[in-house]
Amino acid sequence: MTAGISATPSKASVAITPPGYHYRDAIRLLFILGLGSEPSGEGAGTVHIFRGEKRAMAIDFLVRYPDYLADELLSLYETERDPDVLAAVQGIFDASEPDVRLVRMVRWHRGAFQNIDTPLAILQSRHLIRTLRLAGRQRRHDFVVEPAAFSFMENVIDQQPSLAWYKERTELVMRLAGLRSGSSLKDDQYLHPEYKDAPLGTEIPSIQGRVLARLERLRGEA
Amino acid sequence: MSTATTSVEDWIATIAEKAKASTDDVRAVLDRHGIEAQATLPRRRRLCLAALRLKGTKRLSEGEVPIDFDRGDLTPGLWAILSDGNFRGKSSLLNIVQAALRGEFPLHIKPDVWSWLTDIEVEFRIDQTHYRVVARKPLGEKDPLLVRATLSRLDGETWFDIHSGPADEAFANAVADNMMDEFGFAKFHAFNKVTGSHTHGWQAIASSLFVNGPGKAVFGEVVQDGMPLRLLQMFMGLPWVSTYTAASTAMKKAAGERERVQGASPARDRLAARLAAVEADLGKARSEVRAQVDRVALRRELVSRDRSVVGFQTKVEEERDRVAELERQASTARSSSANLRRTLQQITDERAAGLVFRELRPVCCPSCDNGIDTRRYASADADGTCALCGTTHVEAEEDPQLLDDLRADAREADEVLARLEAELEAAKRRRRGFEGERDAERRRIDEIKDELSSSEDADAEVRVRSLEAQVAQLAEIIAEHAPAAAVPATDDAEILKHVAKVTKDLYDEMQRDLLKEVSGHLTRLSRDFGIKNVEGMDWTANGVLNIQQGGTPLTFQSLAPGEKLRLRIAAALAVIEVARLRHYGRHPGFLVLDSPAAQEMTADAFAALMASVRTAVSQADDVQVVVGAVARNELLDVVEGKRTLHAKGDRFLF
Repeated sequence: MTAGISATPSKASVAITPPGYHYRDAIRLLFILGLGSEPSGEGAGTVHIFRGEKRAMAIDFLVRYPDYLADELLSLYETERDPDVLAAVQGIFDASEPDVRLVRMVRWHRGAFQNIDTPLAILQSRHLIRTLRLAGRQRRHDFVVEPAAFSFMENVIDQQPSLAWYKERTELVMRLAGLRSGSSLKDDQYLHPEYKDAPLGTEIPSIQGRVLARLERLRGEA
Repeated sequence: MSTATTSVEDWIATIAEKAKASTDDVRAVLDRHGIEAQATLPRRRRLCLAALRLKGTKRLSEGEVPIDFDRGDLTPGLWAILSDGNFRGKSSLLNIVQAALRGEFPLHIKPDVWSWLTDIEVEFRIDQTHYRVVARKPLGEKDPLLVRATLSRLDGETWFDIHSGPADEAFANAVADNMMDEFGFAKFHAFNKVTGSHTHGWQAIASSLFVNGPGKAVFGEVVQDGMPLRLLQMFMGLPWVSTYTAASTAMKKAAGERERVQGASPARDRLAARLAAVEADLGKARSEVRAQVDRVALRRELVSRDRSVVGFQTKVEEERDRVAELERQASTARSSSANLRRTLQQITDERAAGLVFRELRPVCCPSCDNGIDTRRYASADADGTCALCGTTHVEAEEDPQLLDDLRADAREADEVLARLEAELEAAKRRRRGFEGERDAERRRIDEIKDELSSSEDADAEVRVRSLEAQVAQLAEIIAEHAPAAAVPATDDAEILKHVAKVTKDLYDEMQRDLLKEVSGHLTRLSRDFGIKNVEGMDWTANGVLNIQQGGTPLTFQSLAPGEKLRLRIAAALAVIEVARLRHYGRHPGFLVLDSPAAQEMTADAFAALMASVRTAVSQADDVQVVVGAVARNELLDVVEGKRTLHAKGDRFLF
């Protein structure tokens, strides 16, 4: 944990180093990779594979931007008319998640991007995740989720129940993402002008005002 | 005849008894209708022509001839104005006398003669009082308004002017009032259903003193309203006559009004129905005129509301600026609050994650993936360093104060945000309030503009005004016909009926005697004057002169012109004679007979006429009769030479 976070306007503290929340990022990545993986074979000792780094980035974006997730969920609701989906969206706003849970990402050439080397190293050093090196010049594309990762995820929630949010949020996102490819998910994300039109190298802006209005409208119709 | 002495009190009491009313009520009705009791007769007064003077210039085809006529020695008795031929000025002289006595110029004076005259002076006496009527005008002038007319009374040695001015109606009224006063004549009241109320006065009396042709009436020139009988009654001197005529007139008027009221009743119903209809229309029209359009007030309101709109708009803008500023502040506060809570969440998560990960020691190097010897962990623990990188552990991140401070800051930021949002909401509410008031003013302004520009409304206004005028007019007409006015008229009419009846009873018997006596004299004189086959004449109390001629009942109107003239002369003489005999008469004792023989009168008849005239004159030393006639022996025989004005041969009288 790094000290010297500029957290309180009253103290007007100056940020000494860029904030780094590597353990938290590692937890988020663990749940995304774990819950987004699929078994590679049959039997108790089989490993799970998470396919696609781009896919991981797309899912991560939806976890880090609750307002974009809400918008996707409202689209899902418009299709399925599942009241649980509407209730989930309402819960996102009731908990001020677009403000509180927001972890900004920067717009790069291939969309929202975050270097995951540090959290990945944390997970790899504990033998929870392993990058699957593929043939050719391709760098990491897939991740192997070790069986220990699943028991660790349970331990995490037992020891720190507040971290259960990451599990629940990842499950909610996975309801949208499923086994869709990263490209397919990013295509959806590019549909948001705020995301698409954000200048390269800048943080992707919030869309919570627009989504809140959409929620109000759909609740009115419900 | 004893009734003539009935007192006024007895008279009123009798009326009250008959009318079943109080004496006070009777007095009130008498007062209201101006009916005066005339229980006794005023003293008889005599009129006598005293002098006649004329100046002027006759403009004849043969040249101008000056006029200078002067007879100042006229006295009571029989006078004759004679000429040997016709058109010698007899009638002109008599007409000038009549015009002067009536104060009406030129009256019957022929236009050419009137234009020749410059000075007319007629002196007369009423008993011992001398009067004079003088008319002066430029030669050739015919307009009476350019005539200077003066009525004067001789007071000792000097003439006192009673009235002086143009020979107009005012002068005629002045003369008439003076004469009526002098003779004590009351004006004759008459009510005619067709023409309404009339008052007859001196002109009617004076005209009856001049008999100059067949005429329309036995007495005077007016036949309406029973005038001949009334003149007869007045000249005969019947007490209560003027009282009766006044009561009778008032009664007819009151009854007439009642009749009109009753007769108007269906009309009133129609008017009332019309009024109701117009009032209904008015109500409708008023409701159509939105809020009683008062254009001046609306324009005033428009100006005031315009000002008001500007005021509200200013406030709206002020609040809008305040809202914008508060929104900016709130946005900042919201952002601060979100940042704080986000940071708090991230640090909390980070610590929780750190705790779970630190329990899970790395089993391999994250860089090279080679396994880590467990002994390295033992020595690192002992040194307080990292087993992998050897860095000394710093537990700085375990600063519990940091989270408390963050939480406090987050709460404070939330409070600030809540306060700002409350202020923002209040400012928005105020802005909305001012916007609402401003918009209401604007709507009212639009309405006013619509009202002002709407021609329909202007028409409706005009319609309302017009209907209001109609309602007012109808209400006025109905009020005029209101039955309320009929109530006193009904009561009055009832009492007046008894006034007239009681009064009439007072003199009826006497009048019957009188009329019988007059009728007798009239019959005799008519026969003497040559009206053939007159068997009898009966002047009834209704004023009708019934004549029995050759077994046929006739009236005055059915006689031949010659007979009419003779009957008129006979009537005038009969009245004078009977009045003299009875000592009641109030005849002025002045009579002018112009050309009495003009209508084919025989010598005997004319002689009889002149004899009668002479008798009338001789029996009363204060009677004056002037006869204008072509000189005939029958006349010359009865008139003293010095009492004649005789234009002999072709000469003119003036």
